[in-house]
Amino acid sequence: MKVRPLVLVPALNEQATIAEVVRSIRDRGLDVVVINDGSSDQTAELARNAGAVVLNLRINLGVGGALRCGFRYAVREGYGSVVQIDADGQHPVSHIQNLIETSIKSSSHLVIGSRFRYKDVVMALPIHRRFAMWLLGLIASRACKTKITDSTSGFRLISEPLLGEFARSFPNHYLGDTFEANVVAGRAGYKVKEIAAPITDRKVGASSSGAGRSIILIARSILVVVFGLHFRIQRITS
Amino acid sequence: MTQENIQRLELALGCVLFAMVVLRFAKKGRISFRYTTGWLVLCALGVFASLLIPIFAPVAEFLRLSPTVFLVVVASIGSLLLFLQLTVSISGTQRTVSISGTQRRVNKLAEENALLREKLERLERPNDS
Repeated sequence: MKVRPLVLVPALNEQATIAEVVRSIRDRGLDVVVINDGSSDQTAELARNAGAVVLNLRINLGVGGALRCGFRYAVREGYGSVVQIDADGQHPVSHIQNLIETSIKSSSHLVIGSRFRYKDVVMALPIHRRFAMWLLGLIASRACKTKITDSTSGFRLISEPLLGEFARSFPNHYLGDTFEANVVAGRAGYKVKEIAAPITDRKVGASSSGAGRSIILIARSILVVVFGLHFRIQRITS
Repeated sequence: MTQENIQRLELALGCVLFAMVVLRFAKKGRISFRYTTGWLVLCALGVFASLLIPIFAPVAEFLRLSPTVFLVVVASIGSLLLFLQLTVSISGTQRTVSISGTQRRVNKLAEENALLREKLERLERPNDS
């Protein structure tokens, strides 16, 4: 099994930033796979030219579907862990090493990089989003038996045997790949840890989350937790 | 117990039973979360409406229907809207495929295709040089 993690970058129409993101990961000596989630621009070509392996999805599956494809690739190629990072350049590539070190030191299967461990970032968010994040964090913390402040973070490390489980079963609906996956990992007994990771402003485009969406995601999350409608993975055997 | 109360109870029980069936299917992964939510909301509205039948009575009377029949008609329209939404999805007007059973198969196919293409391209590369 390969010791160094594979970096997974799900991307949809990210031609403005993808090459820079890939190059900065490659500069740190890490293998990188860009999962091109049905882009209609030059994302795939630019990522390949920058040194990434590109998995081309012919239809848009959403972040969860793209990640599952990446997990399957990682398992097939013998990687013991993966780091998920956004293609828009918001996540600090320099902090990947922190995720790796935390995973090794704490023997965690899932290490989440949280933007909310920096108090000034929390204050910059609108109140409805802060409330949504707080409520989701509360539910995730209970499931993971550790404090989770950023349960929707797209910057995290997933290692075996959780990686293999996610390769078999992983949702692709909104919040399923982040919040729900964290809850499922925690409930199945996998060790989850959260560390601070700064997030920069989007270089291109804007976030699509509004007040209405926040209300929908809270209601949905509560439904998932109360009725146990989340996907299932094998419990960890110690 | 009056006839109206029996009808209320039947409506509420019917909705609860239907919600249980929906949840059972959802836990087995046979209905996508999206449609589970839709059906559960419809069931919750049904239970809620059964408690408030007197409020609907004037509207039902105006339409020359009994309150229970009126609620069944409203629930049917709700169901039809869900079916319509599903039909629109099937028709492919959305880029993201959203049909419960087919969705998983199409997604898996797209993933298999991407993984195999990558492997094929890698295998073909040495032959090109």
